[in-house]
Amino acid sequence: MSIKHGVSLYSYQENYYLGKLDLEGCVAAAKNAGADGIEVIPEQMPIGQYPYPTDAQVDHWFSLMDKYGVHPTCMDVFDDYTLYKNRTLRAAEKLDFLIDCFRRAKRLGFYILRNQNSLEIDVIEKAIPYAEEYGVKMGFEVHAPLMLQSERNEQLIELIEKTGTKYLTIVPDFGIFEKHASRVNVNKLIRQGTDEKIVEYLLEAGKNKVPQAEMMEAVRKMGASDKLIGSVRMYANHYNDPELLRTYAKYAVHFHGKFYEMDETCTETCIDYEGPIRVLKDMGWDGYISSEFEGQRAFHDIEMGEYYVDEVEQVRRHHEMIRRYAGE
Amino acid sequence: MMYEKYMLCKDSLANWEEDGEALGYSLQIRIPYYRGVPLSFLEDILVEVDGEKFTGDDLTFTVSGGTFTLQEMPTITFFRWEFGEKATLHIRKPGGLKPGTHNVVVGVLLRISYLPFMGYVNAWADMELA
Repeated sequence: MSIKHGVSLYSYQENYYLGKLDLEGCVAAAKNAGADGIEVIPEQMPIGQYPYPTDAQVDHWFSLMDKYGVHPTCMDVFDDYTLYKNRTLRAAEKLDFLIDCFRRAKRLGFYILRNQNSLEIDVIEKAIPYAEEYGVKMGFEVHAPLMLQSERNEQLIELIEKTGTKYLTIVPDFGIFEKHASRVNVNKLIRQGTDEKIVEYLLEAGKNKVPQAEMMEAVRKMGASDKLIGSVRMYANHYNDPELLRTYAKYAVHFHGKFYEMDETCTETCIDYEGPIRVLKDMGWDGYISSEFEGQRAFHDIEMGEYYVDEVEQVRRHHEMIRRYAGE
Repeated sequence: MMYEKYMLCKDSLANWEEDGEALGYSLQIRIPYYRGVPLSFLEDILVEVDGEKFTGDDLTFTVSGGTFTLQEMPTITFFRWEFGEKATLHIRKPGGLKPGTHNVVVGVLLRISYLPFMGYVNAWADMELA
């Protein structure tokens, strides 16, 4: 009963975007980092023809898994309720799409979906029998600024307890254990010309746990653009006490190992990994922590030019850190 | 914002000619987002060359699935702009562009449900006419 090691190929997104790594290259990099669980966003890195690969393409995917001694874990899907410009999707349309996701995931060997929390509870309830039929769990991502203790999670847990289903789970994203905003993201904000007074305010307000709504209003008064107001959530203090996992981790089989920057000592520079892993280990939790590197995007502004972050090395360090904290 | 520095393919500026007539110019862009999307997500594209502004009505958008106008986008869910895929814009400008360097600015607006604040992603570069 020990924590299992996965990588979301999302971590290699820039390499893939630029044609430096293809799907197999990403799988190989994950394997080399020490992972055996592979997570994919099929809209980012299609497995064969999206969304319906041919049988030959499916066979090729499984032969890739065998070649590297890894297996599929989570398939990430979205709740694109603004698919159409003139209206939002109805519940029945969302359910139809979700059932198709179960079918597609099963065909490719994934046992859990990553779902988004905009999906309505009544749709989820209707989807449970289909999840059970296809053997594919739903996994609602607890992503900052959403907290473990939240009305949304209460609703999901109530549904889990009411139905007794094992096919509805939560997927906590380690960003909920962020102690303060990552310096790589703050630096980008400064480079983009955000008023330093606003940046200082955001960092202080985060430290002082000022409520997010109050922060948004304060920066609006300081003249912040809509875009900046929308990104305030990145600075609001949303650190969750790892001890809460003793209650919530029993509803999870998969975590997103979100990270922005691994330093040379293989430590994340703003996210608490030590606390949550200590608790998970103590609980005997044996699901996957699936690396989700996002620090490359902090250098996507034009001012950064040719500079890039080595995604492969970042994931390698991430796994060294996890093994260190897990006592392996 | 994401992928801004990679959105504009810097070596892609070319003149657009058909039957010997200079109809305008073309350039290539990659999606400023971490996944591919159905074309219905694409709300607007704006282009500016040497200060001259071009709107969605002045251009067509070509991906592997075909060539489309921005007016068609709201109803396209089958065809997609894939992650990393270079889409070609053909922008109408009678006579095309003169040889040499041109300052190009491109703005792309995507409609993404959980990112309502995203706004236009803008990229700019001095590009050599091929």
